[in-house]
Amino acid sequence: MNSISKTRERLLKRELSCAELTEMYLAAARRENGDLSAYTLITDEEARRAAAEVDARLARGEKLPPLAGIPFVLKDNISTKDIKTTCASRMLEDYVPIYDAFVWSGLKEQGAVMCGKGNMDEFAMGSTCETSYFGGAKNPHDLTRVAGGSSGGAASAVAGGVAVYGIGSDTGGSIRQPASFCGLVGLKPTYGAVSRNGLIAYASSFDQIGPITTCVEDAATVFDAICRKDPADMTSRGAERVSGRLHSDVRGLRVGVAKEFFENLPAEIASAMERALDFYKRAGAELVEIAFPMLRYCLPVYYILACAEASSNLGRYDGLRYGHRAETFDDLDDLICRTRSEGFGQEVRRRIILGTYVLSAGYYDAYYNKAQALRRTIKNRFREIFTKCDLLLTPTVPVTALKCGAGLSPVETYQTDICTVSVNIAGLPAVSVPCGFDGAGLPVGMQLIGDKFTEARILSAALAFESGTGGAYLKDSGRGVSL
Amino acid sequence: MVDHEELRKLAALAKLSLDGVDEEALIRDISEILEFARTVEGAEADPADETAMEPWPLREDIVAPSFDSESVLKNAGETRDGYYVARKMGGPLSEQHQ
Amino acid sequence: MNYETVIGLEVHVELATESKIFCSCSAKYGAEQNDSVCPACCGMPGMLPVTNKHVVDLGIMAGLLTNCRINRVTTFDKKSYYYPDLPCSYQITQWFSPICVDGGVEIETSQGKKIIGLKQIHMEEDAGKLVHDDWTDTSLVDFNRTSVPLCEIVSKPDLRSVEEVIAYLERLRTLLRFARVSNCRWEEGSMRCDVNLSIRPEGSTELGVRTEMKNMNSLSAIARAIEYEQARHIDALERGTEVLVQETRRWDDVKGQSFAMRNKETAADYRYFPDPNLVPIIIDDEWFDRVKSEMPELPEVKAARYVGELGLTEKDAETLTASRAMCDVFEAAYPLCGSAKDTASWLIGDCMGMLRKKKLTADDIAIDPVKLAEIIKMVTAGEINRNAGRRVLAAVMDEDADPRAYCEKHGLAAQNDEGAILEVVKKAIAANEKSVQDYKNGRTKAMQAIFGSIMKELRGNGDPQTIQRLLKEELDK
Repeated sequence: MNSISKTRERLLKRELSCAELTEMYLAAARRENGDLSAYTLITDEEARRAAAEVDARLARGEKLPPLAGIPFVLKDNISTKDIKTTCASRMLEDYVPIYDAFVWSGLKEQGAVMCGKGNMDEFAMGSTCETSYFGGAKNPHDLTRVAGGSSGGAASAVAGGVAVYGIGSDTGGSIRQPASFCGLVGLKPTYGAVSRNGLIAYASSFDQIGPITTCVEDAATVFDAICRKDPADMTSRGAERVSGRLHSDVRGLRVGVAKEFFENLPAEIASAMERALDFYKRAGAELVEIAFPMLRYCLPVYYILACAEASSNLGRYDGLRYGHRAETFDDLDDLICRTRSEGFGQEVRRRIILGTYVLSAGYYDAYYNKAQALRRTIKNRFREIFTKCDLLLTPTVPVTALKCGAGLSPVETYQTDICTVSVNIAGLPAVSVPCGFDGAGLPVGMQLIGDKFTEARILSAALAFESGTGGAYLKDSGRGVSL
Repeated sequence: MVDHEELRKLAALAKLSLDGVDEEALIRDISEILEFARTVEGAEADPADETAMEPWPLREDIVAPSFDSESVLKNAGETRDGYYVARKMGGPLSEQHQ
Repeated sequence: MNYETVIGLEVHVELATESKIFCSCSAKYGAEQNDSVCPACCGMPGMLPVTNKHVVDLGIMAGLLTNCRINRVTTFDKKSYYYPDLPCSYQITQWFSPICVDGGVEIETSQGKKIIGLKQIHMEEDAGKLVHDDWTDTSLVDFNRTSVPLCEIVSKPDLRSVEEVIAYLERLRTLLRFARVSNCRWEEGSMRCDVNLSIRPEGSTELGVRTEMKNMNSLSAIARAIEYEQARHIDALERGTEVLVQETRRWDDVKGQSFAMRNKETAADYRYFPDPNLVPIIIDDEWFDRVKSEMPELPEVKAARYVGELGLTEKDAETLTASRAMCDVFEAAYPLCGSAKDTASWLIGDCMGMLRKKKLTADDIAIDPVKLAEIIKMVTAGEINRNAGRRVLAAVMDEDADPRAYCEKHGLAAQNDEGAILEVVKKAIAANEKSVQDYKNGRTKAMQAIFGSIMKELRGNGDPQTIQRLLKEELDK
């Protein structure tokens, strides 16, 4: 695994050309994808085009932006003009957008080299990547285990050394959880920090795009490159860059510990958390006891609201204007029903039905309206919490990477999101940082949650841990490119 | 919690076919999820607070160039003379909303 | 048994904005199919709506014109249903907190004045257009109209007759056109109306079974539809010809009948919920005050002022105030030339005459008020005569010509020198012996021919009255 800064150094020193670097990554991606299924599409042409341009700029002696020439993976729910964007669904298997997502457009301008589109859970609905129409992405540390979801492909590619960094999306934990499973850093920015224009919507008031990287510094670099305000997204406000403001001094930092997040943890995760808390205490931080009784309502609130929004966002897929289209049908209604049933996988159909239920007359008040009211309440509770502490420390996931085909029931799967969904409910920033291993050597992640627009603070605290523990929790999978 | 009739109504609203679907399994799953979702019933919510909302800038009324119709229609299954085609309108969808 | 007809109307007007409500495509009518579209209004994956500020301005204005209370916090909600003209499978509308509520519009009919209550006004996006081909049972879909901004104006069921309905619709139209909220053209579909009608015995306060009618494309079609439906309801109640059910019916103006729309097996469940992509709109005092200050003087107030302060006749005032564009030109021009009466006369007589010839209406007037005033001044000062004035006016209206330059170029300066005119008169008499003879023999009309040639000689610049006088004097010598 290589960091952005290390890769950039090699490029600037002309130790290798961008074209050479890109070929190494493309070749590695092809080689490993059979095992990893990290990519739904390897974009050779686009990567080579970008690399050639970076080399030309380097030859002209131009100063290059931080992400120029760095090979990365873009989750396949982010629209790329003239390049397939499938959301890992049969519904969009051959769909080619006619416009670029705001984030992708900005990265292209900065000379980013896209190696390919990242595999994911279908329409970002899932926590293992296994709902992908193309088969789930595997965990590079153990191919019998999942990379996590829904940004499983991006995490797998980065941990598998076939992309230097990844761009994923997070609705209920979809960046942080795969990062945790794969031993990477995953940042979900504050809701509104990054534009959602071009991100194929799952749940509009929860979705947010963010980086998956091998180290904290890289997460900051990528965040800075994508956090611009976009007039084409009314919910986007942009955010201040963080790179200049990172530090590792946690003296006096008030680290909140809410016991509700630590209930029923497996022993290995519990001890990794204890070690992390201990680290902060010894480094001069103050541990503050916090109560968060609303945690028990976060999962139902999330699933009610997210499924409601999803049922609406996915209504547009009817075979008339793009995407999959049933071949035989009796009439228009039949065309639409067949198209949708053929195009969508089981989990997506389940969530659409659920969303339709909670919005339908007779149930709206009890479910949707109540969940909205509780969402407001949860936001209020977090506001109060952040008057008492500077950030919250929690486990990212109460489990390590699950076995492929573990066959958990829907509710059992949803339960693994317990630590991450509250963050999306409140629209807060949160970063997952590797902080340990379980008995099988699988990565354990801890999550730092901050108040709105405090990315600099949580990334600094994460940086302190990473450097303070001397990178002990970085684990090279031994795959892919090493420079 | 959800019976077959309810499921059929939901599927009709969501335009999903139930052909070849294990309805029992789907009902079981949905009911289990709803049971889990129902816990919100017991929770107490804070009252609404409109003063917490902030005004947000809207878009100025300026026209920007549209996309050319060829590229817009590119991904469509069936088009004719610059129109999208919706075939066989007869059936439950016809005349519903004019 | 005497029955009372109870009518409520849902009027949709297309708002007069440049761009659509949720994207920057042009909202103008008449583009080629699917030429005025983008990924957002075609419902492509990943696109987000961005609210057009001017739509809210016009929504507030519509509310002010109709005495509504403006909701200072107003949200957009999704209304979900399937139809090919709805690319996202939902329409963005306002369900929970519409922008305006509880208003009223005063109408005047043969029965006197009455206030028709307004339940609410809300903003929403229009759907696309379907061109149906019955032969192949196919619909062709055009999304140009998708996301064009609409205001839906919902009245209370206060209307009682066709006369009241027409008065209400015409009043709404006048107000909205005057304030430039919408151009309200029935034939373009920028004003549409659905009618909710029920019947009850006179004196009863309970409401009968209500039916909704759609697809009336003009005021006269609405009148016909109401007459028909009213009769159908009464027939059903009195003679049991059918059982009335609450339903939506489609008006067929060719057949002169309403038909139940198929497929009402399940009442639609629209699953309204707030659109999370659109932040609530907060109308603060500054915004509200700005729109209020832009409220135009209402036509009847203007007319009264024109009569009372400017001395126009009631008829002229009424004609002018039927068109906001006319009023704007009038009000800008008359201070410049100093005469409201003259300005009114030129506008109503000459300008409107020229517009009518081109099959245009008063609202199409497009003349620089400064130039109009210039022409009027020149005529009043005698620099050019009225005929010449009309020629200049045509040039100004057609090509925005400069009046003075045009007069110079075409030699339109009035010939006011009596001596010079007399010369021409004498020449003309000498040159038209036969006509002179005819005149002296009692044929007074023969003078016209001579008059004509004098005018021609003077290139139209002689004052007709002066010429007439001098000519008669000479002839009678």
